[in-house]
Amino acid sequence: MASPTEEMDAESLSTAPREDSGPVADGSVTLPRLGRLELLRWAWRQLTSMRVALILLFMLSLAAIPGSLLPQRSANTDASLATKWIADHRTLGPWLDRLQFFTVYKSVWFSSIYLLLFVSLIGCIIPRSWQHYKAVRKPPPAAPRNLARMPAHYRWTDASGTSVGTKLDTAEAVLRKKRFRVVRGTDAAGGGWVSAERGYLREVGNLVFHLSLVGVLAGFAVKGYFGYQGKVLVNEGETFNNIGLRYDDRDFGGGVDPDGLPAFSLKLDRFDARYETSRKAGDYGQPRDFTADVTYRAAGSATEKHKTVKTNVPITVNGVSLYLVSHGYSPVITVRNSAGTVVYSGPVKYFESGAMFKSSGMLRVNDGIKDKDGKATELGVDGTFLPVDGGMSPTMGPVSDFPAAYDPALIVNVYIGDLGDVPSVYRFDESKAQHLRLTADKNNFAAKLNLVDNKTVQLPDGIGSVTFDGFKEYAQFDINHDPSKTLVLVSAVGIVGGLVLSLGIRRRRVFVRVKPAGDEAIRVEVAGLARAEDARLRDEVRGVGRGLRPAKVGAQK
Amino acid sequence: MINESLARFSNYAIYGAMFVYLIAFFAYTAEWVFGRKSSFVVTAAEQSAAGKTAAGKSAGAQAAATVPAQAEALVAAGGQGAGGGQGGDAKPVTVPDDLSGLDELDDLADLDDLPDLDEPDPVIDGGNLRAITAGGIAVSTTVLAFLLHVVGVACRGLAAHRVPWGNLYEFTIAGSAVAMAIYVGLLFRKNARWLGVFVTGFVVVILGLAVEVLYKDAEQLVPALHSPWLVIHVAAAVLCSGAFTVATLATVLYLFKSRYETRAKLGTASPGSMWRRVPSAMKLDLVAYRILAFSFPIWTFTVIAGSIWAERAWGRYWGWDPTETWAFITWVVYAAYLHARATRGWKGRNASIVALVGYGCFIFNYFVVSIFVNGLHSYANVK
Repeated sequence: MASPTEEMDAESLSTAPREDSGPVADGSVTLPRLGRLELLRWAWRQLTSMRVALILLFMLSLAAIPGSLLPQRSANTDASLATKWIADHRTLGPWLDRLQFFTVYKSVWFSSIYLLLFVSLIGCIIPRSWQHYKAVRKPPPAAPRNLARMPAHYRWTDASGTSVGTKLDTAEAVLRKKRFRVVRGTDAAGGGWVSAERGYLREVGNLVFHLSLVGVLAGFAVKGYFGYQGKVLVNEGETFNNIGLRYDDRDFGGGVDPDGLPAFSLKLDRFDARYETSRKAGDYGQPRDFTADVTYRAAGSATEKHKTVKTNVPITVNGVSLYLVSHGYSPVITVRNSAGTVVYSGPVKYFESGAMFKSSGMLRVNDGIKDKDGKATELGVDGTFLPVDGGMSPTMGPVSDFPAAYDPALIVNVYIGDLGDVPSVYRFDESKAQHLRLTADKNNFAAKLNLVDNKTVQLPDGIGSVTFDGFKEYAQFDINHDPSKTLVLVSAVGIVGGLVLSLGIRRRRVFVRVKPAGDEAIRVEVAGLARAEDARLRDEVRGVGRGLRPAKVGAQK
Repeated sequence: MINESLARFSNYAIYGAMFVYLIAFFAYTAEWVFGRKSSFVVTAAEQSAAGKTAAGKSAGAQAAATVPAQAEALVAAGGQGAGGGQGGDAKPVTVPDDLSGLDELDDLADLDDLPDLDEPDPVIDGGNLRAITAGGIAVSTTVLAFLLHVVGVACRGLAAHRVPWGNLYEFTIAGSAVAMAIYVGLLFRKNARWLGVFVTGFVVVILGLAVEVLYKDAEQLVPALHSPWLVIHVAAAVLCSGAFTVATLATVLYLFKSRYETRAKLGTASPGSMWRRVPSAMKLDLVAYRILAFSFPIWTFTVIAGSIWAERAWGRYWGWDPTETWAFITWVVYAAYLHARATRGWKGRNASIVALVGYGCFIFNYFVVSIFVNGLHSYANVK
């Protein structure tokens, strides 16, 4: 562009990332054989270059997409959706599964992108921090000889009789007042200059921002290894003890000992849900408020404490936080065998499966059941719970009228025989079992029970009976222990703070040169140079200029 | 409880705003159309913007009008930022270091200029009387519509006794009000009239979409939204939605204008092209950049505030929920834009395309993810 000195100057002031000028970028395609060390150095330079960082950023965002569109297997999502998806897409499904598309954020490819980005960031930050440290310690460079080439430049002749020294003093004072760092020097011809720089915090902000990103990534790693999360469903009146085995769903990091969890117990005293009752509003039956009254006791503490947990108001015991996330109904079911002996009695957790909290669930009874031939077998009760019995809909089957259970009904389908080998306690496989007909209706196997006049259904062939004794509500607590929270929060503050500094502060240099210009007159020049683009540079230089010129000099023109 | 009449009033205000925006849109269009048929001479600034000199600076332009010989030198000296533009490479005229004979070159008077460094405002109306009238109508109707729009948003909140961004419909009307507020601000501070036709057109479409597709009666919130973070997190998101929209419009204009400028340089541009009357590509790029540089930290804050809230409500600050994932993708793409813009070879067209991709991700998150993808953020409830 211009003289070599200025070129150098502008270059050293520019924040624009340097283009990779590694051995390859020089254009020498036929490189001499690279030693292992050179190869490593080359790879390192490539990795820490801006271009590769940009590409990695893009790859990271691309790699995140499938995870948002395909069902994922994680502690926060329903893993059965992923299983179903794979079953529905017979050719694509297994392949995607093999390529870890259902655990995207733990996959090898996603992790490698973010680890590379991590390394690239660190490789970028360390040398830049060192450079900036040196730049901060160094005084601003001497003013260039030719200020007319600067992007902002003003000059005039001052005939008021001020001396060169006084003018430079004023310049220094004006610049210091504007928080510039100032150096001063003299020319051979009796003139002098002031060189000033400000905005060092811009680069500091930039470094803090990138360092904080590394902090967040480190937090993720800490969370993944030392953190754990899971779900527990607690019925009203039930007590939960913090043991790994009691979790209904869990995701423990590699560094967590499932037997050494912080001990505490928590009892759900009462769960209360409030729903929209106004039929005028479009969301009749929408949840309005959930509260769970709990009694808890930390390990080693003799006192029991009470607390009300709500959505957005978690409870923390011994460093473990419990969040009220969801809830459901547990119909209390009693199963009797042919002899009238109770073989099962208790609440069975059902899951929301339709509008107005229509819920469904399964109960599997392994012991004490005999079929009509007197052989021991299994009994399965597949039920649908309607908080408010709304009859049958031709399209949706049984309907519930409202989510709060003031007129509940339980529809049961009963199976006997081989219930398959399903690991979950909430499931069984009825395909090989016999579906018992519980009604006289030819097209219907199921019986509908309620709490008023039809609590029990007798099973055919004298197998026994199923009774609907009532219901309880359960609360679903998500349990989370995450030792990285503080680190991530501090990093988050660093990210925003760093960004504000690095995008809000401008790094500028302002130069003032004063030369004697004949008798009693001096020649004043003010110029500025900015890093990156800086629309207010001219304002700044102008401001300095106004501070330097004599009171009113319109006549000079 | 819901104040039904206030909620109804809010709906009327939004309908009214749409109608008046539509009038404003037609008035802006009329201004463009009538302004074309003017006998106005191409100004010096436009010439410079069209690529004759690199810097469309007022200093240069004024000087060009008076002392053409000196203009080049002044442009070279005063054309800050010109080097980075697409206009071409201004060869700096070498000014002799010996200053004794150059007293006429004093630009002391320049120190008294208004601090407005921008190029002269583009003249859309071209001095045509009908165009000027249309422009006046456009601006006044824009302001009126904006007031109705704000009233609509405010009444919605008052009717339900909460912040007016509890569902996607409310988010949309609030976000478009922010976009409009930015435009009105630019209109009075920077005379950004050139943006008017695009902003009003866009806002009419968005409001139409809100009223037709996303509409939901005013009602109370679901329990998951009972949190002060609703105010903070969603307000920041609303702010960003408006800012991203205006920045995107400026970016699109930039892409058209820079194509026009390239053609103008080659002499293949049509002389009556409307692009002659929008600001230079450099300025459009700068407007987009400034808005994005301002909103990127806010977007970062939105994501962070969201994670803090997620930590309070769901027990984890980050769970790769679809909405979270797309907010992250949007963030990454805008971060890439800021980096690209500072990288040689990417600045200009390529960086702008990255910014458009970023907006695409934002919109995808806004409409597609919140309506069609099941996640924890599914509060849209579009029936």
